[in-house]
Amino acid sequence: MRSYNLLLPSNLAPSYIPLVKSPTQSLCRRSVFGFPVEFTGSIAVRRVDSLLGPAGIKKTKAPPLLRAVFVNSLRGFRRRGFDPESSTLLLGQGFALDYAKRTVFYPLDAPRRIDVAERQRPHPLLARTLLFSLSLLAERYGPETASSGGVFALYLHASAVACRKGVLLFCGESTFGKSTISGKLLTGFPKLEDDQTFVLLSGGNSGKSQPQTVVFGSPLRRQKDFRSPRALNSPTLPVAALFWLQKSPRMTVSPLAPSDAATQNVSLTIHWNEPAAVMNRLKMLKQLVTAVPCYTLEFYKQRQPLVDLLRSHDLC
Amino acid sequence: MTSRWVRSSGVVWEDVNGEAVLVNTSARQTLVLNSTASFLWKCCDGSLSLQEIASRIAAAGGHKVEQVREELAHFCGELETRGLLLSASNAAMIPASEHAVCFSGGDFPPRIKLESSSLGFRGRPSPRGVSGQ
Repeated sequence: MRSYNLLLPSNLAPSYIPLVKSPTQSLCRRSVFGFPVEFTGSIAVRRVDSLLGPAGIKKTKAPPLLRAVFVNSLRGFRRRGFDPESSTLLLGQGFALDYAKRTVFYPLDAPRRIDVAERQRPHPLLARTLLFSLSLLAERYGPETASSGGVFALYLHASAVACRKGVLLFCGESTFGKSTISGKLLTGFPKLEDDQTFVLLSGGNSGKSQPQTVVFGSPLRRQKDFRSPRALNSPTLPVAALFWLQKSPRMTVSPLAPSDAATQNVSLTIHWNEPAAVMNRLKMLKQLVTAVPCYTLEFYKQRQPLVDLLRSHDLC
Repeated sequence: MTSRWVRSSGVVWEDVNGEAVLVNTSARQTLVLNSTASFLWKCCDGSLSLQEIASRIAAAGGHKVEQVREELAHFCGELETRGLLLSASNAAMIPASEHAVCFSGGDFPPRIKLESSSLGFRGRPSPRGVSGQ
């Protein structure tokens, strides 16, 4: 087992020390979908790699954008000031994030994998949590503070399926039909996400201008309506279109102005009570909605008319 | 009648393809303005009078200046009611922003294109998603 001579990072506050099981820590750095992350805690490096999974993970020596500390559990974090509604010490679902120290605390009692989409391997929860933390930092402090090579992460309340043209994102609030459309209607297409999708955007003059969807699992490449000559084992896939969903007795798709698409998605901001964070999210959404075509999709629960509609508009 | 207006400091906004997206975090409201309203919004930094703004819009769209001024005054009043604009009668003169220089015409009269009052997040942030928590 490779070990590193490193005690606790000096910038950790003393109150955090009791949360770490042992003063002996191993340390490694990994690039998680292109974002350098530093890992600490009483855990072997090989276990870190096992928790992360193979997709989108590489070794790196680059300065970290995020530090991940493994703890036994999240018990006691609320007493130390972490709260689900805090924008400084966030107690999220299955993780805790110290924004100022750019440190995420990950419990070792968390499930290693979670089932998110049908007909694909479970997603590694640690990788999802790290990307989510990076997207929260980008929203809170600005995308330039959490970007690697000009690329930053944006979380969307959206489901996603893959098609020949790329990834179709279906956005909407709860009960709008995101899970229905991706899981029950478009069953012939590989489903990538059910409720939350991560998109990588590049700012500045980075070569990758097409927004990319992060792929955590290994979607099956042969579906009834989708037969790819290549395996869907790429860590990212380009976004082809974004749809805002509306349940309706009609089945129609109509162009959606980028401003409207940005407005509808900004309403689902986690840091909604921080004006600076809302501003950051608006800027990031603007980059997405001006880079991909946006549509309003009115639909009812029938599979073939929906597939025919999307094909007639050359959307899949 | 108020002739100069300034944007409320509690509103964040961004120009998306010529249309302004406004977010009023205190009222938990989001709005989209059409192109003419967006130009008016960008001009509302206290440096230009309503007459000057109306002249620019009228010139770009071929409308009568008085008609445009009347529409703008009405729309500014509506935005003031919503807490988005403030009267700048006592505001110091500041240089016009770059946004306010050019207007190439667009939808008239100024209006709010889209409005949503669902800003906010409910539940505990999760890497798995929001629904079903």
